[in-house]
Amino acid sequence: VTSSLTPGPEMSGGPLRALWAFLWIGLTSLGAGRQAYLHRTFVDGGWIPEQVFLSDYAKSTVLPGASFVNLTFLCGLRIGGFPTAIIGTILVFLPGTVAIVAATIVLSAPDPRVDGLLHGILVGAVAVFALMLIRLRSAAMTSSSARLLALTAFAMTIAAVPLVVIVVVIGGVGLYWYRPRRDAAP
Amino acid sequence: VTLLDLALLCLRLGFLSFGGGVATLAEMQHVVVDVHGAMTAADFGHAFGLGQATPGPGVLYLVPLGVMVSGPAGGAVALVAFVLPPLVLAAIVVRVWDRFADSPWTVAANRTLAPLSIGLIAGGLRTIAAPLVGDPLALVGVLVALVALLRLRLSPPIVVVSAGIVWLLAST
Repeated sequence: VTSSLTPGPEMSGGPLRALWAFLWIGLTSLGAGRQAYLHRTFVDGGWIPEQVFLSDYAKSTVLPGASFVNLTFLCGLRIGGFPTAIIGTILVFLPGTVAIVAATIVLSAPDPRVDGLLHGILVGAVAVFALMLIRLRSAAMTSSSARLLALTAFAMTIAAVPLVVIVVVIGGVGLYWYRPRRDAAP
Repeated sequence: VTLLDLALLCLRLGFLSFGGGVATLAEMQHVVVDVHGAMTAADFGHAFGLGQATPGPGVLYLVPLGVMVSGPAGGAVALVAFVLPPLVLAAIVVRVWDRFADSPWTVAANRTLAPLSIGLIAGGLRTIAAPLVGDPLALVGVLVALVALLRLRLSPPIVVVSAGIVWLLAST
């Protein structure tokens, strides 16, 4: 890629220190805005320059897939190449995977209290989801055309239109709408 | 749902998840609940809730979902099939991205993907909230939790786990 993939001088602890950082992020990154944990660890810690991180953040949100996972992978790529990216991503998944497997086993027994607990968890999760939508909406819905595209995509999900059709139709209309124009200001 | 069906579903949705893993929730639920009948809408919501209550990537909800629809191996299959292919794509794309970062078409793609993602995420919210419709107490709980998140700025997992504990205590 570029020279920004070269490890910074702060990497005196070597690859093990970087991998420990990934594991710690996996253990402590909770809730929405998990990308902030990556920023705090790798940018504030001097592993990745701010501009490179911001560029990778944009890529992680535009590319398909879980954006936090994409950004984790890209951070690993910047710090130590593919081995660090792969192992680092696995380490970010590890604590949560252990926790959720344990929870799945423990909570699989039929019990009204378990049903109550899971119902309450769903109540909280819906609120977290709504919060994320509110924040995203205020950041990205800045024009009437954007609102129309979002509403159309939403309406298509309600109508159970297959996701691939939604992506192709809205993507095609949006690209045509926002296409480069010759008369646009330089 | 066979492991192969689950893998193909997650593979397809992983590549279509613009805006993060939650953008595909509506389609995921439609397939596993409505088409295959492999789990109830409430169980789907419970799986998603567990993903929000645990540390790490939110896409971990695929582990309980995979276990519920395809058995123990389903958790690993769902997670790997959803996450891995987009990462391979990311590794490829990042090598050429910077060359086209300032292209007008890249700008157009960014402007398109933002509202598309929001529309899909709104669809996901509607899907996840569906089991709570008709339960006034739960809807009040959502509002209280939302206020706690917005006004008190509590950490989302704390809010999720607290809501679970409240409903646990209420059910005993």
